[in-house]
Amino acid sequence: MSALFEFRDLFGGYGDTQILSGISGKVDAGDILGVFGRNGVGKSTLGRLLYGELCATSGQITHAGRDVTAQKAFARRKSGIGYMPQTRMVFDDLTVRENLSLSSNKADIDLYFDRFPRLAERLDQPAGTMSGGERKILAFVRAMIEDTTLVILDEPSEGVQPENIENMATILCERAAGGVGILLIEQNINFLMRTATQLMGIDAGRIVLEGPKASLSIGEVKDVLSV
Amino acid sequence: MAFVLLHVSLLAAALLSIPYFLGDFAAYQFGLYLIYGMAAQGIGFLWGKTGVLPLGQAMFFGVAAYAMGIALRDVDGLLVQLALGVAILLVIAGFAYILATLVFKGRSDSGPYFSLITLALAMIAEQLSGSFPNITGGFNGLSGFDSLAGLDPFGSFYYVIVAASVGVTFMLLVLDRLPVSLIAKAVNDNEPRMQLLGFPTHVIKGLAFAFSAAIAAIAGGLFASHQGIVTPTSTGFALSAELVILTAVGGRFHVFGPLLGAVFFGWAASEFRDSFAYWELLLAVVFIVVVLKAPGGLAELLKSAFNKILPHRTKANITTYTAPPARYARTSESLKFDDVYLQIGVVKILNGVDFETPKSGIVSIIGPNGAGKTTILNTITGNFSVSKGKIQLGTQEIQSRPSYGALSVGIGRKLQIPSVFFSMSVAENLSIAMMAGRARTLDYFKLSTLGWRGDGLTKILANPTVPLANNIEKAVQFLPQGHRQFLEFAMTVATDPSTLLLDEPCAGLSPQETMLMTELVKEFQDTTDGLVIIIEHDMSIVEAISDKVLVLHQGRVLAYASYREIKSDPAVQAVYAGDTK
Repeated sequence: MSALFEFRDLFGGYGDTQILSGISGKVDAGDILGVFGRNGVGKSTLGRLLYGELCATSGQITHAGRDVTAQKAFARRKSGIGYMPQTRMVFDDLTVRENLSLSSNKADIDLYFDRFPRLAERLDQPAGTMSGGERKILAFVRAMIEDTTLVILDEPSEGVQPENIENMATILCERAAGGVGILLIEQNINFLMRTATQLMGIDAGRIVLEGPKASLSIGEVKDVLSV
Repeated sequence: MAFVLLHVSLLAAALLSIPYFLGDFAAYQFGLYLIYGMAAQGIGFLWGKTGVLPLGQAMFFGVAAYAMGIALRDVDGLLVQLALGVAILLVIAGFAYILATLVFKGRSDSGPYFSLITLALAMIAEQLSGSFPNITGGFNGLSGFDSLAGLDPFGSFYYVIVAASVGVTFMLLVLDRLPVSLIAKAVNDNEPRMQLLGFPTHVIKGLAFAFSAAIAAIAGGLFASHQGIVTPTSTGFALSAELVILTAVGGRFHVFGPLLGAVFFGWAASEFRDSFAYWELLLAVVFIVVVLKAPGGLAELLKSAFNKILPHRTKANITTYTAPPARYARTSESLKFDDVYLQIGVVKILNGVDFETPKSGIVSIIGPNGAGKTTILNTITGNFSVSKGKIQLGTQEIQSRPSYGALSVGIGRKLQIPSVFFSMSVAENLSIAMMAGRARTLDYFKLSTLGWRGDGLTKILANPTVPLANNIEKAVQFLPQGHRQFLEFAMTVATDPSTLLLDEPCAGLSPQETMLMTELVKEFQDTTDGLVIIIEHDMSIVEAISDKVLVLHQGRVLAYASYREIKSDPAVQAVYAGDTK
């Protein structure tokens, strides 16, 4: 049986600058694939290629058995791929409520207000008036409530206070347990080791370390981050 | 410079050969294209660099044309006529400067309103110029005057136009290479960053607009002398729009682009106007295709074609020069918040903040997301004006200064999400930062200014683990987020601040890069003995660097003491459980 989400031999970058040189990986339903590496090795570029902002120069991306390589971002989203970008992640002029309702209109959906009570307090406030960390949390919740089968997150913990990172980790594990596949780009080792089931270390556009988390040591992970 | 002279000589040679090869009438027609092209070059400078789009440029063109026509009709003597011309030029430039600074002062999002205001003014100018027949000749236009110095519009006056066109082109080509151009582009790229670097951006936009208006006025003056008649359409919206269109088609990012556009449109009009009934439709289609398919215009297409044929010129290494010292005091002062409140709409963000920092040292601000940490920095730099209370730096009250005034009291700031100039290279970003707070008017017109280096920046660049020296020619848009953190930090330190504000400088950094950033912050404090205020979530960093820790909660100071005291404070533990990376 093929994986929920799979990418093979991806090459790509910006214009003439090639950033990724042949990256392959997969995310099964219920898996959390943690992608890590130092700054500039191509983590965010991988995220953008996978959700469709950038076009791969070669390689193949399949989701639920369908080839999505040629699809634009909006089409991939329709087919169930969600994405939380690293920056500029919410609609600043819309209220928190409006931001959330763009992601899901279901009346009975859990908006995780028990874990992030600040969002509930700020429902009618424009998202742009919230702090950077609060906006990050809003974007995270949005990505979590969307009707998706695969979610790509680009450094969700950046600028978020430790307790809320812990809340994010719990929610991620719950979503994965519910059968969603998650691709988590992160540099926060604690967060990564707490959530990921599979790990992929990248350096200079290539995979330098991969495998189930249980098979890798924290020392090996730290090595990739500090080469 | 050789490059500029080569281009200008080629242009001059081409223009001077036209009467010889194509005859006087062709030269007469060409003269008109050059006049429109010159006005469009002014638009290209303003729009292509600062991003401000003027929709009423014909009002300057037309008003100058009327003034020139009246001077030629009613005043005797070439010198007096020219003096009047210069006077009207200054009036027009002054009016443009005041208009733009008024519209842009205090806000950076008024570009569209500005465009609409210029559009409305051009419509008013057209209406007025038809309304006073005694002065302007009414709707029939102003006529009955000779060309400047009695020159023949169908003959020798062409050379005056060529001289003006070559002169303006030369000036624009030179400006293109000077720091002043970089400053104009930076305003378009990231206005809030320019303000934090101490540049009053509304003044820069005002000067650029005044410059483009002056060029339009020169073109208008030549137009009157060349055509022998000025009508209200010369001041109106239709001509304004046409000038914008030929700027866009020719290419607003290149000095030659608008000239090319004017010649192309002029030639196409004269070629097809009589023989092809739908020629205007054809031009409209050309406009749409160019805007959609080649936003850089014809000039960009030609340039990329040339670049394929000619070998690439390799960039010379940057020659560095010792920068003059920053103009503000170098000794740091204590920063004091006295009962500061801030409310935006119905949202209360700060609810009576009180604290005073030491004169030098590192103060960390911690607290839950939304506690008001970034807002504290925003009130210090004047991005938000406080609803109540005082903020003092030493004895000086700073709460009502605009954000471009922060650096003039020595406050430098790094933002939460790296705020740099994304369309530029790392080197250009650093050049702009080095000019901040140091450059005087003349420095913006010297090439050497681009190579300025100061102690703080040199030290950072010399550190082999900082990912900047190796990427110096790289475009910032291709730089990963973490490297942008170091770039923005380096830019802020380059301004030589005595008070350095850092908003989560380690966000998005790997553990090793985090250590590097921490070292750089400490090193800055050690060498300058300045005051550093840093917002940070990572408690290991807070512990390692802080002299004092300020804990914020719901817009109030929950605690303010040393790290050890904070750590054992039960009130702090209740709202904020720290962790390390």
